Amino acid sequence: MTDPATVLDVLLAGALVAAAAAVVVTADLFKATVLFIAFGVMMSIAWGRLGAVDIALAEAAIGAGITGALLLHAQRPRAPAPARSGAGADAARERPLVRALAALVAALVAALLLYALAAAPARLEGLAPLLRPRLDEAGAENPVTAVLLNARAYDTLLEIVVLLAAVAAAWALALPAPGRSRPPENLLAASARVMVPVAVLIGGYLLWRGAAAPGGAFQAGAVIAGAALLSAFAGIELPRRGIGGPVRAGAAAGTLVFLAAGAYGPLRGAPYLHYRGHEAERWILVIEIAATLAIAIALVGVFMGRPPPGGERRAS
Amino acid sequence: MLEIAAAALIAMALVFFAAGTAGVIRFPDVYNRLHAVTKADNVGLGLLVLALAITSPTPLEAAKHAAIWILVLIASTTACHLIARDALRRGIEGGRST
Repeated sequence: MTDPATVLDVLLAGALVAAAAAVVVTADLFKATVLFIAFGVMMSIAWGRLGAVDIALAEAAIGAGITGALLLHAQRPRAPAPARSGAGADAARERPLVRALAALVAALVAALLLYALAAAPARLEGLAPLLRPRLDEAGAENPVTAVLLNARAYDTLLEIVVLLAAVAAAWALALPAPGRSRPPENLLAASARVMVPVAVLIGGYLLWRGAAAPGGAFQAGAVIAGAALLSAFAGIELPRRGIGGPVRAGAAAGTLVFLAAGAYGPLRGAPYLHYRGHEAERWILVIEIAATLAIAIALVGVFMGRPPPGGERRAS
Repeated sequence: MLEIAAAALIAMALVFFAAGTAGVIRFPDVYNRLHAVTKADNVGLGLLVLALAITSPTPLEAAKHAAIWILVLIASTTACHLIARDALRRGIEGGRST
């Protein structure tokens, strides 16, 4: 009698491959985006089946949710850019040489991945045996959080810096804002009045529980960003002037707080980003709170495509 | 005993999910398809949540499952209405195959 979980896994793997193939082959961009969102949701289930619940949460919130919304938002009807001869993306898609090259690269990557999978040992120990005896020193019961924010804190610090750079770049490339504001969307506003407070609560819960159970700053930031986007779609307007400064400060806060937390180590003669035990718990919480704010602002900022009004330095 | 009831509820939920999916594939136009996917899938989810609720170790966990169902209801009804209204604005008529 086949294990039903294995049947589920095989079906899931097959569905993932089918969805990915459908995304690549579909001619209609909108359909491809919707299929991509479906692919993201199934990927999240796959991560859950592999026991990586933190990644499953992040994939569902960021990979399927925010990225899907971003892709759909990018396809909204707007004034066409001035046409340039032969340089359009559609032209590139149709040229057979480009498609052949893309197929070749994809086949090479697939072959490399299959080879890596075949050559990998049957069981990979990973960091678990190193981490388990020292988990109480690490300041978090959830081993994922312990690794992300303590054992491998440099990587996470650089990720937060990359997010800050991404939102700065997105805002630097901003097109001027459309003159008219979005008309109020009553039905969405009604549902937003329920969903946004619940989403903020869930985000806070994910942030707090991240230390002991799956969760953490990225997942919480993505959920809160989703709530902010829902408010934006519902036409709930933020005050036009004056919020630019606080928003920019919030975006930078993640990086600054993380850098400051790292500097605590050298103050006591320890290496940078070196914290242990009870102080590790406190620093991890502080870093995660600042990171959640920064991640939420970064995701919404990249989505909106332009900085909030106010807070810029004047040119004159 | 509870496990058997939960299994029966999950089986019923599967029937509803299958009906909803069959509706999405087979119904002729967008309004019928919306009908199928929101009503049938939400009832299926409700049955699934009920099965999880009666087998959950604490009442708090059952309440969390119920909260998930309510949030999905709100989100899917809002989305369904928006899609239907947009289809109406574009002049897509019911009954015809699209």
